[in-house]
Amino acid sequence: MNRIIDIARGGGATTSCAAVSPWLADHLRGQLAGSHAADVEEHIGRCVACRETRAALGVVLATAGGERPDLWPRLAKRLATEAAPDRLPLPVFDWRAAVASILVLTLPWLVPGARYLTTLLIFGA
Amino acid sequence: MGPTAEPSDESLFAAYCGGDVAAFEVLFRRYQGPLGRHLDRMLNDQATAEELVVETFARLHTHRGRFYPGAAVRPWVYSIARNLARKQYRRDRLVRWSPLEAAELRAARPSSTSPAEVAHRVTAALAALPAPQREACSLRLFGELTLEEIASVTGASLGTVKSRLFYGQRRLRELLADMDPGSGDTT
Repeated sequence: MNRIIDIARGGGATTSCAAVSPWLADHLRGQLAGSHAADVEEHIGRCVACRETRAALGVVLATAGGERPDLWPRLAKRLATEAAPDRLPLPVFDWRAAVASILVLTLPWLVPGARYLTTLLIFGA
Repeated sequence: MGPTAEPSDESLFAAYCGGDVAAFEVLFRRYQGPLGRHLDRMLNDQATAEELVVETFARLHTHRGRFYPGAAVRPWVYSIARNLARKQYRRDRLVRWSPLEAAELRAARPSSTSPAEVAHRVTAALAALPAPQREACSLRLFGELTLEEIASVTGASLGTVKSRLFYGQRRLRELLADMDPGSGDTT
């Protein structure tokens, strides 16, 4: 990991607030190591503003705690719903509907009177 | 990587794409906290934030076919969430992030230390930031994204991200100057 340094006009290395600022959150969480952490610590040791910024970020992060509901059941339900079309059961054979359909379709051709009435209904008088 | 290291987001998602549903659950549980907190801070609405966390991963599931080896999951997740949040924000059109509210809160309650008051102050302080600064700070603080990931999610350059963080964090320092760092625990 590169060090957080700016090269000063005279060639000496230093750290500026702007260079350290992006790393304050990581430093606060203890996620910085080695020279990176050393650069931040050296800077906030002598810079009141950055020390206060780090403290303010600590306040912000502390409010992020607290229990939150587990959302996995909601997502699992949602995914199951989305997957449902792939798993739809085959339609159940309804013999009553089948018999009724056959009767409706064939009755006009079996009974002459019914055939006449059907033609009348469809094509009008 | 040691033998006890946790699997990466990418390996979990690749496993899910291969049919391992449990891997998706692990990935989701890894993200639901940070992503929920980030969205909560951006929308100032926990219920909507929770809905968007679920919706984000539902979209991830829908578009899992687009995942390819080597692609980073975290910027993808946060980009989906960002688009959903922007749509939600446009839909609501509510004045939730009024700087005036933050100023009033600070003037009215200068040194309160109850957890609820601290949380209220922090919410108002974040609300007082310009949206790009608030987003950068929230992604960094709550999402724990790297600078490069924030740049990828927001479409800004790395320099712009650093600048937004610098000015955003400086503003937070000004707004929360009288707060005790140990007073914000709301657990």
